[in-house]
Amino acid sequence: MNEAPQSPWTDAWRRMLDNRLALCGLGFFVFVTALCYLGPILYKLSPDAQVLALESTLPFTRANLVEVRFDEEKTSPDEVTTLEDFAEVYALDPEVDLETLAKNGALEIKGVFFQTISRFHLLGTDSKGRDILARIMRGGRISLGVAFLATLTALIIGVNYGLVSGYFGGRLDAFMMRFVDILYALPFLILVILLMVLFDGFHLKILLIFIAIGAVEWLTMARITRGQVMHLKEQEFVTAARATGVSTFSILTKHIAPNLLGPVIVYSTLLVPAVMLLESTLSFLGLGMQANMASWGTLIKEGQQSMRSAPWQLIAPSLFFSATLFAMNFLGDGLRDALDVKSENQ
Amino acid sequence: MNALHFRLPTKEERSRMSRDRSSFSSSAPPSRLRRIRATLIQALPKSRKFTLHHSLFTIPAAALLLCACGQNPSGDTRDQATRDGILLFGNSGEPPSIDPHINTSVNGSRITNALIEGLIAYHPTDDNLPEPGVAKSWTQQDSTIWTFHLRPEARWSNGDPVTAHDFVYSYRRMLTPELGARYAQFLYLLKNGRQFNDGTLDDFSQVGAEALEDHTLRLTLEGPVPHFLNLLKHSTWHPVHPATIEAAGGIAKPDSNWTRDNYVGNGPYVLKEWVIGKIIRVAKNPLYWDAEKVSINEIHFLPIDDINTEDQVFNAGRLHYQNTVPSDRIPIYRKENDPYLRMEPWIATYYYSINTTEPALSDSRVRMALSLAINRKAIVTRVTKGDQAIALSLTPSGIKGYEPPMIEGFNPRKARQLLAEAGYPQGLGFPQTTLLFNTSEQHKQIAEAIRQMWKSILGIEVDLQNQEWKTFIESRHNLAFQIARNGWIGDYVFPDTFLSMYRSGDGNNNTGWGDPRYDDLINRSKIEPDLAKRLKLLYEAESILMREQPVIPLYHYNRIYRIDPAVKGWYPKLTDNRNYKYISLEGQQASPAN
Amino acid sequence: MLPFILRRFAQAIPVLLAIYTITFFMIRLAPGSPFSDERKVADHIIEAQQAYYGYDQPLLVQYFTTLWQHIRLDLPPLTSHVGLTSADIISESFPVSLELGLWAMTIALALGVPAGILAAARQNTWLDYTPMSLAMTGICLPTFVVGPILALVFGIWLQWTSVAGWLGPVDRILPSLTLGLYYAAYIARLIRAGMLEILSSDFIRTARAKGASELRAILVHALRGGILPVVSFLGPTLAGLVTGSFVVETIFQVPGLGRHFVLAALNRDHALIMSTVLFYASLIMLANLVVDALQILLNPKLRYA
Repeated sequence: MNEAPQSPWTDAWRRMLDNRLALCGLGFFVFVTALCYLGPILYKLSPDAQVLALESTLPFTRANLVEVRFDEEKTSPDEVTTLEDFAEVYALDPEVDLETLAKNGALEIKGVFFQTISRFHLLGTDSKGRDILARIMRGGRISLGVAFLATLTALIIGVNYGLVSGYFGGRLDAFMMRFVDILYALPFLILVILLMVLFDGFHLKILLIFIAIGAVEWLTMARITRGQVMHLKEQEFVTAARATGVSTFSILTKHIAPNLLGPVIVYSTLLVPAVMLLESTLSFLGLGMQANMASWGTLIKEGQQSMRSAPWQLIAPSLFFSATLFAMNFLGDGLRDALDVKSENQ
Repeated sequence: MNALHFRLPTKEERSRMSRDRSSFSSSAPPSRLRRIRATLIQALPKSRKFTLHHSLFTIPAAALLLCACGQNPSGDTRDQATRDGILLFGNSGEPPSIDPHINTSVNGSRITNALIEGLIAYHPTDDNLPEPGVAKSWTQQDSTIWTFHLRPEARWSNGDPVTAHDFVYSYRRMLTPELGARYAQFLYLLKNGRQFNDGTLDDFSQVGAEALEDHTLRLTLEGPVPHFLNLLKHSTWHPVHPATIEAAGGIAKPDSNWTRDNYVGNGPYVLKEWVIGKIIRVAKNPLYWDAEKVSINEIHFLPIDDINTEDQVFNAGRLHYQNTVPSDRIPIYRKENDPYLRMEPWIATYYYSINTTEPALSDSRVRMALSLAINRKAIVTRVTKGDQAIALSLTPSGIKGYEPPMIEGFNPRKARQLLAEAGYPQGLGFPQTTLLFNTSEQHKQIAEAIRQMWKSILGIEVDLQNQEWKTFIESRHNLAFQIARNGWIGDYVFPDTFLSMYRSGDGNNNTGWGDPRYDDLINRSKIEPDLAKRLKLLYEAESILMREQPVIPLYHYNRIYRIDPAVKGWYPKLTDNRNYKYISLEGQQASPAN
Repeated sequence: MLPFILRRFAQAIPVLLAIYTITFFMIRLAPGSPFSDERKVADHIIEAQQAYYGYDQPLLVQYFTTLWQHIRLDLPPLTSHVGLTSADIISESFPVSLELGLWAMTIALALGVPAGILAAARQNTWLDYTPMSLAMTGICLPTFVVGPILALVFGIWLQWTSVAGWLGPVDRILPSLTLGLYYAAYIARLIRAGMLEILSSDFIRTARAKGASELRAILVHALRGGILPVVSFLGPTLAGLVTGSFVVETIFQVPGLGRHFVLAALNRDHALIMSTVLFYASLIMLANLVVDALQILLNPKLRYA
């Protein structure tokens, strides 16, 4: 136990590289994050643009559509619809008009202007003709965003709480840990639901969600931190620092905090999926995001409702959701194995 | 082979389904569609469109089913229940109360209609017609003083006769201020009813309800009400058994326990069992005056509140009646020619209320522009998919003698022009606006579609906001919204059930809109003794409302439900209220008791 | 032991009081009232209702009245179930939730323990990867996806089970399975981790060296140690199973307490919210107490810690 506190990092990294599952997890996680945040730069379809007449289409579909303008000079179309719908609603003689439209790409009927366009939907469209991949990318930003913010909240509260409690020990520690025990007894999920229902009209509900979730999840973080700090403060480098008159604040920030990084990272990687699952449960109960913020949970819920008519609407977001959770869990497990000094000594 | 009875499509059905996949819409004639299709295939690269995915699953499922058809889960299947004369009724949730005076929920009133009978009962087929209930005959003077002759053979379920005194007691209970009956206002039609209810009058003998004899009841109204018999069907006018009420805490106790401990009713059915969240079981009432007409032995009201669960329970053959069909299932069932699906007009309208106290929305041109930019046909065919009639008036059609005034439908050019006239050309400078609705998948889908229409046609960006029900109605009542989703189901078949609430300052107006001419027309209609003239006044009033458009009607609801064809005597009805004694089950075996 | 239990009971009182206070003011601050409805009615009617249910008193008076009612267990009348009190609701629906929880726990143990043992005994083979990947899938798929899929497959296609309800024994299968699968996954992971630690320890090596068969080494020696983390996991989990089953209760139309809680919040039935929250909190504390007491009994070292 005398090794210098910094050296395990190289060991850990080596062990990490040996763990293929964890590496795959990390890789997938990076991929999903990049896809959600950078994907829209390349894949330009809007997640909100509906083509009502298109309805659900299978993945890898090229949809041939018609832009309808009631004024020729209008830049954005008044309506985007399918050729079938055009033939049924607007065309005077469907056969002739469709042929003309196909040949010229544009057509005017009774002062209404039509123009053909085509869109490629990689993962198909949902029942309102919206692109599923675009919705998944935006949903991912929301889900991951909420998960990170909630985890961050839990981290900030939990680490600071555990740090103080563990380092100062004694009566303060006893009192603070008693308080944590009490909070453990609260039916938190129920309080979160209550909070979601009762403060529903609140405009920044998304803030509320991650604050609520963060408030639930910091307890375990505090306990883990405390245990680690109690162990660290007996280490020679800390006692030495204390003997040479380094201030408590410096000891906490410069000597102890860096060594907390391992367990904190591990726990965070496990917390992110837990938060995402909780958010999806709230979405299922209709207590999650606002309507214009479709998270993965919301998409899964929508997909679940059309499970029997258009299963890919459930499968696509579920796949992203579960695979991300999978990846995070494997990554977390791998990191735990890699950073856990205890298991190595046994 | 009960297990196979329900939904798996036969081979023939499956092949029909795969053929159906090639058509685009069920509304156009098939030959024309085929021609269009042919043109499309020639003219363009194939666009893969997939609307139905059922058959993908049927093959493995059918294979597995072969191994499983010997096993049959226990419990009541629909066929067994039919033989036993039990109607399995999906009732969408637990009613808060089945006291006819306290209950305000639709699922509660379905049960009170089975347990209690009023003077006038629901007609089996036509809501415009009266069906004699406890009253066997009646006379009226100027449609203001009504005298009802009660049938002497009418009995409470404990054997007591149903008398005119019971009705007077019931109306006194309904109007007792301390009871806090929410729908007491329905009885304000009675002379001095309002005064007794708001506490300004203490003496009930001055209220216009009087028992002339044991079986003769005279009701004196504030003014003429030609359609009074239609109103009397509502459960607020139903009787309760006075001795039971007195024994359970008295006339003024709102949460008296008689409905759970000792339900004494006079309807065709009596309450047998009530387990919260599980079942409300009612059985034939042997003491009912018309008992031989009652056919079904028992009705089991199952409070299944999740609509997808209810759908699955029906598909598993455990319900005769499915109250709600999830909207994404409707097109599938239609395409499959589902033998259970019914879609029938309902006296109900889906619309948006506009807060006219908002500066931008106070201009009727803006409101009209918003209305003209909505493609209602697209909403009905692509979003709700339930064959609903588009709404160009607040009042649905189907009310005898009343054809509502219509507004103009989809007209993008005119919409843009009106918006420009109001000072927002191409939507420029239009203030930030939010569309509020209560949390539900269907409301969200409609709002998303309309948001897109307003955006692409008017250039207006609208924010969507959803709130959970109780928060939502509070926002709506307090005008804490700009545009809000609204829906109204008529209480009875007469236009004023929709129009009265748009008088200025009415508690359910929820738009801040008011017009003295409108108020005057409505008020005059309320005292007009002649039915035709009354309807004429209401027509004029609705014309004003539709010109001013503080509300944007979107579509008239359909009652969309599924029912086993074995259920007979179940007819399309505007109010969706049933008289259970006319309903029977085909295939019911005569019980030994009969 | 007795002083320990008494001390824990004494600690529970301020906790419950704090929960009561937080919940009371939270639900009163929220928009919406038990007496609001789509159709607005005359003010004097709302006032009559408020007077009957005690809402006409000042808030602090209501706070203490309700508190006293809960202390005496003389619960206030409900607004969403006219004529009943929370006691009726809890006594009718809690046994249902408890039964569901116990079935789910049985399934979780029956699936999770063997899977965990197998995985640990054959570490880093397909016998390890397969159950562990399945377990991870169980953890990663939301219950509201698993539930309807199970209902579709077993209830509609195969017709082996019913799809919803809580009447006959068949109705128990799917909700218990849906709820149990999630926890089975957790238990499998716990057992595997616990057993791996013990399998690599000295005394197993000694047992093996002494000629104990592999099966005996695993089942007798390692399992005894490996199951310990599961035991301490069971208490809080059972409480969690009972309280956290509202999604399953909604999907399968189970008349349990979890659904009542969510519906009470949506209906603003303040009395029912209050009672269920307090009931849940007591339940969790009781479960924690039982687990702690058991651990002290099982592990003498902790007794003086």
